[in-house]
Amino acid sequence: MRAVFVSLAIAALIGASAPAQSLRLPAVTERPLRNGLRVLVVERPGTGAVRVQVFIKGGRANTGGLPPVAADLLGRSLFDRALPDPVARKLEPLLDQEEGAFEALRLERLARARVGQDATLSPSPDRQSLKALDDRAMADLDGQIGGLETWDALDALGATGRSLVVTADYVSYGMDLPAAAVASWMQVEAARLRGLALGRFPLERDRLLQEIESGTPPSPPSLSVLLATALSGRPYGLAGEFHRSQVEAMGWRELQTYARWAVSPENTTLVLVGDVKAASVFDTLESAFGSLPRATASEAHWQGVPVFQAEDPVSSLESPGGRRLLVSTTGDTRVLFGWRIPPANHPDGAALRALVQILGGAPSARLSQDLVTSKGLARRVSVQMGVPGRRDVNLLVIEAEPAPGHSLDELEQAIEDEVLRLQLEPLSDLEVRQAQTQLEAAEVRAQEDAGTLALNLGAAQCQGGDWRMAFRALETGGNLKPVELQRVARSYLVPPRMTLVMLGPDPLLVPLDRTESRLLQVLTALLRPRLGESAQAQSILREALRQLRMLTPAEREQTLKLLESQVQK
Amino acid sequence: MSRAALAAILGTVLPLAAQEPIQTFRLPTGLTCILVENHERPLIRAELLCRWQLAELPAGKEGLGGFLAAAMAAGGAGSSNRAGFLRAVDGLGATFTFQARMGSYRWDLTTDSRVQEAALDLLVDAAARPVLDGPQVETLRQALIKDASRTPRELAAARFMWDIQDPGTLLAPVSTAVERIEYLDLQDFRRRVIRPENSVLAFYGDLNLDQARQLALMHLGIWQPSAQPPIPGAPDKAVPHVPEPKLAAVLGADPATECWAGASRPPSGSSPAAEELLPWLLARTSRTGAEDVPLTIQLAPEGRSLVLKARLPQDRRDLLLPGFLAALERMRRDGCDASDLEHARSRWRAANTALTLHPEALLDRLTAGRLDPALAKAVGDLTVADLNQAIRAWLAPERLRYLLLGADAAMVQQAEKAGLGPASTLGGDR
Repeated sequence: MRAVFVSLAIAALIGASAPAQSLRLPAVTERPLRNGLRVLVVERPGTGAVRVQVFIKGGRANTGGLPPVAADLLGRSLFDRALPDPVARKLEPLLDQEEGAFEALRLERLARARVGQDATLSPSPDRQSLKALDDRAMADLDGQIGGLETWDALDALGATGRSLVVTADYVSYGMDLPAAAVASWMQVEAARLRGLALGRFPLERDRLLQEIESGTPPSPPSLSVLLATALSGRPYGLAGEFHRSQVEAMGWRELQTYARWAVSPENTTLVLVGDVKAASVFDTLESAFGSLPRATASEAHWQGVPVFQAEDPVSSLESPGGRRLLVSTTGDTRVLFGWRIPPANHPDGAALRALVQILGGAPSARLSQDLVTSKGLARRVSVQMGVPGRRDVNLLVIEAEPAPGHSLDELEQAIEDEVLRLQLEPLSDLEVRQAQTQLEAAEVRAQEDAGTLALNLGAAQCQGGDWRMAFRALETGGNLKPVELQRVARSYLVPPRMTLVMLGPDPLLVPLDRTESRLLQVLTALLRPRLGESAQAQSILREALRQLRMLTPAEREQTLKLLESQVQK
Repeated sequence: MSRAALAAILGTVLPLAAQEPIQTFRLPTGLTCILVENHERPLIRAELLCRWQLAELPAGKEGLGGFLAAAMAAGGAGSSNRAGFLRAVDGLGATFTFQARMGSYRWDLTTDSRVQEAALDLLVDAAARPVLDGPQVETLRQALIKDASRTPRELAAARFMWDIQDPGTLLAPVSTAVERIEYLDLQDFRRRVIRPENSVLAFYGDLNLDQARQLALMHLGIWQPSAQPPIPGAPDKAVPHVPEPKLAAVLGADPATECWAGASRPPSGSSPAAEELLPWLLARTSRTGAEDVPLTIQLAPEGRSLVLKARLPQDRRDLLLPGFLAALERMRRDGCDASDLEHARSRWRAANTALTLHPEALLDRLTAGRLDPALAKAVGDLTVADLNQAIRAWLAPERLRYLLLGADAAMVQQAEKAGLGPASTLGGDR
């Protein structure tokens, strides 16, 4: 009875007679200020609070010649806490002093590394004095900033829910404010964007270095491998790279030059969702932010044509043939498929989103059901598009972790089978319409929370030049046809556009289990008489153990017994 | 319902407005229902929270709460198996989540209001009519005993959270007790704790009071309190109670080493009002740095546990413990002053007002009973002395438990010498 009830409800929801007017786009009032800064406002009268979100277009993929980490350092140094402008100016001599000492220390470390000396052994007097100078500068900076930071100007206004998001496409900072504090916030924020005080840079640089050393960089290393291979030569190719050397090589003056270029009104979008009146708030915004100066050519240290092209030639979607990478890790085990797909504003975008939904957008989606629930091959599977951004050619990524007792090869095969099924077997009308229903529902849900709405609006504005890109399913109104989805699957999810990365523990260094450990011993015993300890022997051993991982546990045990009997002979 | 009135209640210590924006009613079965209307979008969010007490766990079967949660999360509901249930939810374009925490189970549903009837039916199936399939439960038990999915680090973290009775942590079954739990234990525990009179149903969205009443009655009216199975006594073969050591360590060459300290809610010296402000004050303390050891501090949402964490790369791990202990001591010693109290209070009020922008957080606080005007008044009346007493009560050295993750033998010895030990260790030889 209940099943009938649910079926009827589903039919009612996806039926053609559903009242389309009830699913609508958010009421966004949009206006540029006179200096080009774009403002999006969504009124929620009576809430007594406002979510404000600042977006700086650019992000990790557009740092003007600096490594991607520059975007993270800019976001953290500028937005994490609000430094009053006069204080920031007083810090500049200290920042110069610290930068000089830090750079000299770095060069000294590099020089030692070149001659093969351990930098921690027998520190030279020069090194000791440089270290003391750097420590003193850091302590002075900490002393001057620390007290101010306990409660900053935004805390004093009642700012809560403060969050910083850095992606390949943008740097964004947001907070909740009492409605009465919005006008004061505008003054604080405009002063911050005008002054671009980066006094926190050395503190944030050290924190980021700690994160990288601790194995938790802002972007996972596995993604960096995929991006560098699949999008080589494209703007997103290096957007996942986070290296200690890159962070250490960056100075605060360099970051400030980048900040002056990146944080210009033309690159900035403000989103306000909450208890504000669009009719009156634009005047206040104009007086606070309208006088921010546009970037001048001399301040733009990145010359040349814009990186991102809205109309990307189709050829750029093709990678130089399908690639398959085996990556040895210290424990991380997963498989990543990445297919090149076009930017967000491409006409095929809607069909691609529906494909992602069908494959892995919901708990009952094809891959989740097949790999996790039915076959138990995977612990977890996810499907995403727009990796790492959506302004340029990017990736549709399927990522899966094998369940205990299953190999990466089994997972690879199962995922390829599912993608092939999508291309060969016709999709049913019901499945496509359900996917659309889910996407529309997700877009309505995204409007409920002010923080989610502000983030989606600003991201779409930065990535596609139009906030409506965030509500594409509601805009298209359910016109997708199964045949169109199949065409898109056949166009994009094909081997020439695919890169496959298989990450697994190195069989020689981190054996999977006791059986593999024993297999390693037996194979070593068999190979040593013929190949000795050579690199070739190591390579053969590694490959043999990888091949054996494709077998079931019982088959591996059996192989081990056979090999052991050979050794005993 | 006026959104402005809701904002006023959330953000200030003003008394309830004449037109009450948070509407409540109770079903004859004892189920408490809460409604916050919002008709801007055709959406309904429903949260069903069922509370239980740790005392309801039979002796020697402390993994029961987590085992039942795992069985419900993997099983079907109503007349559907798991796959059928998920297909039905996805088919409606709805989202459904189930979370088990220390002392509570929670089912969340967000749905298009046009299919609210079918969606709510699924929610009720999941909560009141879960399918606990015998063979599946056995498979799950074997998986839990092997605990292959959890690393020593995860196991130690779960144990630590269990020991400090953290209500904000997802409840993980304790594998040592799972072997002693029988299928009937699960059924009895479910009947004993998942009951309408222990539960709160909160609605947010596109429905009015009459519709909410009707929906609740139609779908949950038949969820009657059944006879409550008694809590079994100690098992025949008595399980000796061995107190857990206060210091635990997971040895390993991880890239970073972490140090945690935590405590459950102190029996005296703290109040719900002080616990509302402590997260704001402690966040301020952590930002000031601690002997070069950055701290992060979490006070569980319901103010029932406190966790402090610090993390340093492996090559600096010898600095971690001294810095961490010094920071704790400084927090105990310095406490807060009048200016800190005022800042914390104004930010607490601002955060409450901002709940009007975040429905999910609003429902969480409503079902946790943390939007009571009496609480707002108590926060307004708090003094610096009250708060400092609460800080000292929470951070009393004799109550704190410690966990070292990615430590080495030298660090464990360092901790034991500092009076935190003796330690129980996992992963590697000492």
